[in-house]
Amino acid sequence: MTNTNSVVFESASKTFGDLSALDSLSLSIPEGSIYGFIGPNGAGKTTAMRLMLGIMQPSSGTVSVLGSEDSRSVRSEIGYLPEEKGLYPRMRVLDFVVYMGRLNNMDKKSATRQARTLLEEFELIDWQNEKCQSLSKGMGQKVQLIATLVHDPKLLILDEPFSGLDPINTDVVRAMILNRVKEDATVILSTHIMEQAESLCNALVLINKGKAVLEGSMDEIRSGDTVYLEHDKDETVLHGLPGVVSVKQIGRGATLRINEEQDTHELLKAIVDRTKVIKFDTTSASLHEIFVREVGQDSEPEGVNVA
Amino acid sequence: MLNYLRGVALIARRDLLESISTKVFWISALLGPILIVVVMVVVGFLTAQTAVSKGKYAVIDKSEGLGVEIRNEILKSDLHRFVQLVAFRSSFEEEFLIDVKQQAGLNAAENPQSVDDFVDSLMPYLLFPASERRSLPGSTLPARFATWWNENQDLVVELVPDVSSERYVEWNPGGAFTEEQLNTLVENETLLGYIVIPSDLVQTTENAKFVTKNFLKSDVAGWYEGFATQVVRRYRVEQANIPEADAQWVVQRVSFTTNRTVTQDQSSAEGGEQGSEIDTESVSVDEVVTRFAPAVYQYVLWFMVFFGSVMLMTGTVEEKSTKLVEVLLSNADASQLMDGKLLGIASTMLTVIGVWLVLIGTPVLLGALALPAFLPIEVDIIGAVFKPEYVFNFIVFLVLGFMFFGYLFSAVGSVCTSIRDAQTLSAPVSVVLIVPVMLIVPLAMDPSGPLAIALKFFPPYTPFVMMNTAADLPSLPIYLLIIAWMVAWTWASRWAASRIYKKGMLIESKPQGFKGLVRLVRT
Repeated sequence: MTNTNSVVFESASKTFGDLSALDSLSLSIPEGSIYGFIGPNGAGKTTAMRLMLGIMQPSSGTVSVLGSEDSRSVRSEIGYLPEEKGLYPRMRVLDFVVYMGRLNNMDKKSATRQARTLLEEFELIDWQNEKCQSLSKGMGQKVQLIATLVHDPKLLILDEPFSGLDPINTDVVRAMILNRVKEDATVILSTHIMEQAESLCNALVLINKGKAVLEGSMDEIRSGDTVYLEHDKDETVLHGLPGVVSVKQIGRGATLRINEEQDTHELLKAIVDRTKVIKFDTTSASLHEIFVREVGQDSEPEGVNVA
Repeated sequence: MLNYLRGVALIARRDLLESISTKVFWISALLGPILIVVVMVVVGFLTAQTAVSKGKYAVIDKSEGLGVEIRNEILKSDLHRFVQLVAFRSSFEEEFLIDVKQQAGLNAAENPQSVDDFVDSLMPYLLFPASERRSLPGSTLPARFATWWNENQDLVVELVPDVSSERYVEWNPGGAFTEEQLNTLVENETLLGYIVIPSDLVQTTENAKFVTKNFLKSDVAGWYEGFATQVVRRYRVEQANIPEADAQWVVQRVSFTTNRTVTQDQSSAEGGEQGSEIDTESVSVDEVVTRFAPAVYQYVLWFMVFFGSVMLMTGTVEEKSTKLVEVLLSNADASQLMDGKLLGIASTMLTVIGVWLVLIGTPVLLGALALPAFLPIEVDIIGAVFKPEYVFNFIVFLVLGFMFFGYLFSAVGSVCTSIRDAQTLSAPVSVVLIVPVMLIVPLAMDPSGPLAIALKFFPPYTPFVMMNTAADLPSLPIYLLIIAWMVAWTWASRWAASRIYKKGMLIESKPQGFKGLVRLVRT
């Protein structure tokens, strides 16, 4: 991993009429990392990806991709696998992959050579002359993945890459992601499968209702600098607590981000003075638990900066 | 720019290959012309069947022989048509007709009277009633022709398809019949109808009548009236004691031969200064064909623009349904995708047209080349129809028209998720596109009239009007101005459409109508 960032969001927002799909998102995705976008349906993950691809432009703020604020200029270095996967049914498998390669500025010869190599790698070479409509769903997804990789992109953006895959193909995609990162590519993926994100990603952002609720490396997110608290008052009583960086409360449950040096015993004492504590949990939570805590059932993610 | 065009070409090529690589495409392309011909023949046949009756009619003649005279008038008319054809044509498979032409000295162009004279000489051998005829066969030319006429009615009909006997035959049972009997025959459709000639038809037509079951199909009565009028007119002239020649003169129709003005450049003898003189000349058939050819071009242009645009719209909706749009949009600009699909559909259409040109165009071209041989006058059909300015105009305005409407229909298709939604949303544009078809005839009749002038500058109709009025093009500066105007509007159409397309292709909800499209353009 290097210190250069593949993607940088700076206060990027996207609105559709009155609807705010993405609200002032700021984050940096280091080159050579596997970065996860997680969040409930409609949170804004796909919008964030479309901003990276240049399919949409931010309403405000900037999105810089591979060093350029105009990602269209570097699109041949980006590979994108959308959530809704599709193929041209009447096109032959090899022709389809070559076509996608050529759209990314490859010449026909090298696109064909690379397509055959990838079809071999994904054990689909025997299907190269078959029409896409004759493929099974899993095979179709692999073909689309091959089409995403054919031009050897530096940045891979995968929207729900494991969706609908059986365990064998899931492993194939995992292996592919890890191989690409070994070759210095950056992989950005969104997923609903927290275990996949947890085991694959170096860092991630949890988005809810267009806002980044959590962002950081996997260690940071899962480390003990987060305390989960259940109490019987609203979150205002938690403001100004020593060593607390931010508070987010949903119902009775509140997530407190604390400084690494903060003694949790001292913190518990301070909280007990202000409210009746029902639960105080400092153990490292799984990503699944973090997701549920942060998003909750009736999510109102309002990050509160605590000075 | 080169990369952009390369992407457009790739997308277009893929669309074209996908379209033309199916059996359905080639079957449709090859069967299309056959189906068109079949439909035209069937429609023509049915139209002929419904527009003109074919069958028997009866005549109740209460006068003293007017019915027979009218019958002879009909016979004479048929003979005249046939003999006139013999006089015009230069070759026949039937050697007898060549002999007749030579021996009777038939020459319609130089001696029209020769036709009338020969027909008059034939009548005694063929007239009604049969008891009045001269006996056949005979050795004279009229007698031999009359014999041939009686024995070769099939060939007569083949050469002159609209001869009366092919359409209407007088029903003659050989005995007397009453009106009541005829009413029954009319009711059960054995007869088209019957005509009652009153005893005093020369004096008044008050009691003349035609009885039929379907009063909307009274063409047989109209046809019969024409001949009856000629017979009755002769009697009236005789009763009024007017010389025949005077009578012919009195009833002669007034007609004006159409001429047109022509400006001829002249240089004066003294100073060599240029001048011009306005002269007149008659209008040739070539000119008439030349004048109306653009209307046919306009129809073809409209057909291609309309169906091409609709194909583009449905293709766009289908593209969305493949769920590949996001990938494509991440690899290509929205406008690149839109341009590529437009070019792809245009190429597909050109392929179809190419096939059709070979299948239909070749026989039509050969027919057009052969046609003058069958016409009494010299006509250069190919030269009249394929004038360079027409072909140039066609290409320029086909491209502009297809792009103008194609982009609009693409935009509509991009915001729709089903063909049905797209058809609903495109209805207003389709209505706009239908109007030029309705204007084909008015524009062709008055290519420099106010309607044509006004519509030339109304962008949705500019391509069609400019094509239709190609026989009367404006001056070069105005012509170039109109093209520039249309180019500007086509560019505007593309600009607006690409703004809609870019966002519309990602919309998964139902389209929000015209306002929704405007909002997409503005945001």
